[in-house]
Amino acid sequence: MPTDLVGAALPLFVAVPILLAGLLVGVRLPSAGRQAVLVVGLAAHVSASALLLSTVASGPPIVHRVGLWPAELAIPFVADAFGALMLVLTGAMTLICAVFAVASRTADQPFFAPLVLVITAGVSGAVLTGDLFNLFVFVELMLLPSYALVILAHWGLGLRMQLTATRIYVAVNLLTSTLLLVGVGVIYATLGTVNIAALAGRGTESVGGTLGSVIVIAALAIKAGTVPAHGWVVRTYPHMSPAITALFSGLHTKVAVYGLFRFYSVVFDGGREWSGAALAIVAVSMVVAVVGSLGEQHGLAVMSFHLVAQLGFILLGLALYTPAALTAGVFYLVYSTITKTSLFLSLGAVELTYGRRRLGQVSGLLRRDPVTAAVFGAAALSMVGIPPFAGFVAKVALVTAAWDAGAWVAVVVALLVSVLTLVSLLQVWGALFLGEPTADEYAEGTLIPGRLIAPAAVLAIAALALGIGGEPLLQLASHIAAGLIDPAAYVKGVLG
Amino acid sequence: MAIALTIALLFGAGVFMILRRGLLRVIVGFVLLSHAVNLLLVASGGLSRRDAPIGTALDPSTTADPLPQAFVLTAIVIAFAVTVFLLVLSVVGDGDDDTELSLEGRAMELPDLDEDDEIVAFHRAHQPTNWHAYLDRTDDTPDTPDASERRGVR
Repeated sequence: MPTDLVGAALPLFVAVPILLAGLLVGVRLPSAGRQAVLVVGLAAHVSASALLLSTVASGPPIVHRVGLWPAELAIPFVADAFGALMLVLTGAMTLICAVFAVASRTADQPFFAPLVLVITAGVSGAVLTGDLFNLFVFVELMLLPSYALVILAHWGLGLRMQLTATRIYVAVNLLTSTLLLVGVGVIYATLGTVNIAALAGRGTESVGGTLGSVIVIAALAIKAGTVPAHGWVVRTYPHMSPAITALFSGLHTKVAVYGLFRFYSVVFDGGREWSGAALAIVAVSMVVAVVGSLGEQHGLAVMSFHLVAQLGFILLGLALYTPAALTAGVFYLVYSTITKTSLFLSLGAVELTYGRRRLGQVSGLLRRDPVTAAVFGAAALSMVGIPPFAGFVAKVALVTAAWDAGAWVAVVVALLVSVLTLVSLLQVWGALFLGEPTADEYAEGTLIPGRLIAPAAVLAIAALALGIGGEPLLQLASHIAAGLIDPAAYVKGVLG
Repeated sequence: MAIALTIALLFGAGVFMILRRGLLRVIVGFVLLSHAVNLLLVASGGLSRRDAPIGTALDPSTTADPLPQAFVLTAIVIAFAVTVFLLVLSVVGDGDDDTELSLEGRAMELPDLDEDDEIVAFHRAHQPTNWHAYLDRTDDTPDTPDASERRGVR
């Protein structure tokens, strides 16, 4: 297909989900109809994203200047390999979580389907836009329906918990968005543009530009949930419905991480003299979060801490900023999103079925629900980094890159955190799956329905497939890393 | 200089209010903060050029930069929407706007996973015992206002 035509279709990734959402609100469909529109629409979204990825995977970025304005005035949509990969990844996670939500009846809420579609539009816009201010707008577009979902899609946790979690969630995100806007304002005031390509390499140009860039990076880091601003993640994520927790873990923090990768490499030029501070923050994130996970008593809370710890690994690749490290970081981003979502979904299936949150209240699942045990075990091994799962490939690539970069502290921290991750996951494994089966008087045999564990199983298999056949993704990640370090093709595509 | 001082004052007041306990005060803090950011965005386009950017014969040295104004319009809409949502959050739940966990919990029903399955019976018999917002609550404590008071949770 001619790239002009593909380019002109880029805004559809945002427009179609929003129109579908409006249609679902305006036209009263029965619950099954809404869910069918949601799942089919998301499947079409993922298919289109995959087509886009295959088009741009090795070629130059596809750019569309909305309204066909001249390059220096237009607000561009840019689909390079990184953006398209993120589009596929986030779309696939949304689809899987939507299927889980349908299976767990979370999607019965009348507004569930439209809200998820608007989130999809926001995420697509955020990964495709080439404009800093539009990044802010699309992140807000992603967050506004999320606020409603936190309230709507509760799970038997009481009004009190719903409200408290939502209050923290909304307040932190509003504050962070304000911060992001301040950064964008300072950048516009000092550098005179908010076009990411036009800003390439200029983030450290003047005092004002550095200040604005650091504020933007800080805002994105808070949205990603790095220490010391990780509290809101671990305080709110466990309180949502498992389908929503999994969805948010696969989308929100990852979009922030994508923004960090893009901004830090293209605009901030890889940090330069700031890289020491970045490495310190990342290392502290990993250690603090994994130690926090050891003290948690609830499955989803443990996983929320691991979410923060894994973000540390992903951002370690960015902080080191060598081609090998960035490759490992991008690979880690993909693998950890898949693995993490699988873990959230399998734990969610257990919680929804047994109605228990605290570790130790449910035990002996290995005998009763062996499939669930296998799915959780596979995803857990993948997260720790045991071959043949994808985690092994990702961690070897990352640790090797850190060693080559001479960052032996990062190597030690990564290995230590991996061991502590194993300890923490063994705690969960022991509490849930070993021991005597609980509540024998109520049922015999398997309790967790197949359709609840199927989404997590698909993702666990994907983690295994990425571990055995990860070479194509590694090559793609390497191509992406080269594009991040030398964004000449990106800049040329946008500015012409 | 005046605009810088105004922005600084609004930021200071906003941060002060956000650090208060009640959610309503926090919301007022957010309103002040968003005003500060809007002023900052307007100032980012330069304040000396004030002619309306309409028409064809425009002098770049006197015409205002329209881009920051578009930024501000967008930012106002978003901040307004989220503020209204926060206000709703502050009034639901026994009319208590405190950010402490002092709302009376109301048990929500579990979604039925399988209507014609014994899981339903299992659910009914085994409602989650941990309703509490804090995860560290012991699970055998019945979730009644009395019990919350006994445990010292307001």
